[in-house]
Amino acid sequence: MTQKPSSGSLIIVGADSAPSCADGVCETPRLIEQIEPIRADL
Amino acid sequence: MVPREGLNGSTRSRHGNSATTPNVEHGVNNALKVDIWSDIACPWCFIGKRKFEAAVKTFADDGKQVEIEYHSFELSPDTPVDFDGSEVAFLVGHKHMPAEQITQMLGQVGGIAESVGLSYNFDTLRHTNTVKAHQLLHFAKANGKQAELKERLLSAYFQEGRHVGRDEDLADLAQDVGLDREKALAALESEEFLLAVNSDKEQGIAYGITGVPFYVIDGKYGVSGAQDPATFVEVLQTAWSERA
Repeated sequence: MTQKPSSGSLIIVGADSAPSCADGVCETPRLIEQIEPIRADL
Repeated sequence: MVPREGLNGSTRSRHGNSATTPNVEHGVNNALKVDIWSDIACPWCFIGKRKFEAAVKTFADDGKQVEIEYHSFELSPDTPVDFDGSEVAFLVGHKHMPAEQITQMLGQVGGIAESVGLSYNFDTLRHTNTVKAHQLLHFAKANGKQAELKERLLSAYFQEGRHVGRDEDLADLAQDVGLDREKALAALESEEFLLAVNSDKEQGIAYGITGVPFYVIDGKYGVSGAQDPATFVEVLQTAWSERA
């Protein structure tokens, strides 16, 4: 079980590299398509 | 916990076997709840929407149901309603990023959008403040059309070069999905749903959400970003099995 630190009361799962937007900027993580997703062991 | 508004009548976007376009139903009791924080002016939110829909289609193959509720998140609340310039100009001026980097970034995003069937047009995009669009989404939720309006707003913004920040333009888009145009306009002008928008934002802060899209599965799991469908499927299946 490799759950990541929780955000509030949530258990955060999924790839760290997944693209998102924050503070009005929506950057593409470098080589996103080549990064093997790091998933929590659910 | 995630606000579970309208158990007796709010929008229930119920995704089943043929959920390319979500079926909207009311009072779904056995569905797995997914709360999604997102903005309109968020290219990864539209891409993430397509990826999540693909995941739901897989997840729901054997009859399982997913109920989706969208929540407000403003990426750039200081944006003026009428910004006279391109997306590149906005990011150069407001975020102090080099134009070359922005152009490259938008090109990459557009390419990934295309890979999920979307056709972004950053040349015609009308950068604007999205707080009124979020208010309209709450109006749509109260009238059983949130899923339809979310799709309409994202498409209007990224693919059609439509303005999604002004009351009259938003009322037109509300009418497109079958909402009463005059009632929508009245809700926008009175800011009837501004408190609901702020409530969503506060809940997002409480969850520690700093970027979107952000998915809360069954009030337990948090998933950040436009993940691959397989990741969403895995989380959905885990959450479903835990509540069985």
